[in-house]
Amino acid sequence: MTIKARNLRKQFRSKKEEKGFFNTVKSLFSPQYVYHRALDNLSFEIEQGEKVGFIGPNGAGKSTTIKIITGLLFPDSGKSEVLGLQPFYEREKLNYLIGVIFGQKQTLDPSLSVFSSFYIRSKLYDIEETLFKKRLHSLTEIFELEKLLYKNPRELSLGESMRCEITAALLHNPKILFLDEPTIGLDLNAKLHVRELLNRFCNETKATLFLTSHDMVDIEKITDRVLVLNKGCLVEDEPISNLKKKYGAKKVLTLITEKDGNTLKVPSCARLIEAKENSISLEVDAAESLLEKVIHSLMQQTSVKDISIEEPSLEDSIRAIYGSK
Amino acid sequence: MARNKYKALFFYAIKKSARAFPATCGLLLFLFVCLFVFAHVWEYVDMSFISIKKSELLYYIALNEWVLLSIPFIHFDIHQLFKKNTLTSRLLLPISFVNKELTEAIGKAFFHFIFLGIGALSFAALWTGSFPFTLFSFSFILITSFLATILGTLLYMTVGIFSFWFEEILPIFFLLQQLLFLFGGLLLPLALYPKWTHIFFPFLPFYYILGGRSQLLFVDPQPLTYLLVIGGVSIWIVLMKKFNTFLFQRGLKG
Repeated sequence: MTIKARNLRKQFRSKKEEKGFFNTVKSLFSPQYVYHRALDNLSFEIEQGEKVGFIGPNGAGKSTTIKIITGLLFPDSGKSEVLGLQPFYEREKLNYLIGVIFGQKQTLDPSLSVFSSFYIRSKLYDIEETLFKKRLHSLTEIFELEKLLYKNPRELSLGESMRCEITAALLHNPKILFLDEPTIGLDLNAKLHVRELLNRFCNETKATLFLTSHDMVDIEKITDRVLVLNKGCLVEDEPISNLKKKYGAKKVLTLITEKDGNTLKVPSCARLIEAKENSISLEVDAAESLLEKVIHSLMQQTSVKDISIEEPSLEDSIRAIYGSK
Repeated sequence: MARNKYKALFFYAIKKSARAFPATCGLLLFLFVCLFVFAHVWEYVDMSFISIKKSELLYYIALNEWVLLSIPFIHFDIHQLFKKNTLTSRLLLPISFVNKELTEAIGKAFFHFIFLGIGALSFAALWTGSFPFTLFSFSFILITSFLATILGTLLYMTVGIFSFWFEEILPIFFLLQQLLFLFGGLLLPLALYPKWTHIFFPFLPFYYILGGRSQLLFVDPQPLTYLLVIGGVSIWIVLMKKFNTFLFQRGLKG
């Protein structure tokens, strides 16, 4: 098992802000605290080579979980194990084996060139000079960094900066890659590029990927399995396809018909969205295989020129999960 | 392998300091102003009540200021990591945070130490027209002064680590600095303090960073004393390093 989390619990406390002068002075001597539970009995396991999406609304506990399994935070109770190591106590050893990218944080030193930052990193990770050159050469090709290497990180655009951050995280060939919002703020092309590169890296190295994102397209395009977190609890742990079946609920069926769509009788298992002169759009429950039944029923009423079926997006499924839990 | 890591960090810090050379020039200018002011003040003050010569006093202050200004403001850098919420990126490297920050700070301190040392000693030599060191005592001065800079860096680092518990660390830093000036003998040479207090000074780290180290050069310049001072400052370095590692881990655990 690559990542194992057992009954993780974590709560944070913050000082209660008092109103008025007297209460503020009083709070200096006997402060009141507000407690917020970030994780509540969270357990999951991830195998080597899996690509897992970790999603949930703001404040669900995603970042706290990543911080615990990368050894940045100590849980109040419960255990976590990553590649056989205890993250908090063996963080330095673990850091040789994992790569972490926080989309909103820059790790490259702004006072040096991108190359110098990579170089100092190679020394910290004990990468031999020849191996470093070889890896950097290959990553430079993959991430198209030739023109960026001798620039200062401050001069880079958001997309360029993210490509450099990902390169920095991959230089030591990590066995697990943790990504927290890697495409945040990127334009459409840059997003596509980053997704493509991450997929390529994982397919080539068989690395495990742990991705947190609010962008469901990222999750859908990069990962195979999704863990859904809500209020610190794991509410779903399914392959994406199952999740869509389970919560994707509705598919949209559109038929181009010979007859006027308004004259057609809609089967009871479908809901009419729109009927036009020669088309009809219906919403059909995707969980049960009713599509065939609906199409059959309509084809008995009219000849059909074209059929299109719109799959539910992961976003719809996730929205359904948040709504139901 | 681990040694390579620290060597790389040390030279990386020197490279960064070299890029910020104007800052070093600023420190050098400040050092000259301090020495110039003190040298002038002593011209007009009756110093007959202490056994130290005026020329020695200028060297005393030069040695102290040299070390004091070479210590990088590591507490400020660490505090900024907390304020900007960028501490996590430093913790995701395969090296202990305390070791990494300390090595970089030592590299930075080394760069300042070289330039400020040349500046301080040249100024004192030109002003007094004398150079009161033998080759042996000068080597001792170099070693203890650099060790004192490391010890000072560790003390400042402790203040930085307090960012885990305090939103503002400046008051703690000012408190530490005043203790350093007071018990390190920067406000007044330690020789002027009541005799009974002298027993306690060697048990405080401040003594080894400033005056205690510098005054030995004039008061008791014996090889054994030199070794005792080197031993004292080394013990304090080891203790402070262990304390900072413990404190940081404690803070992280929450």
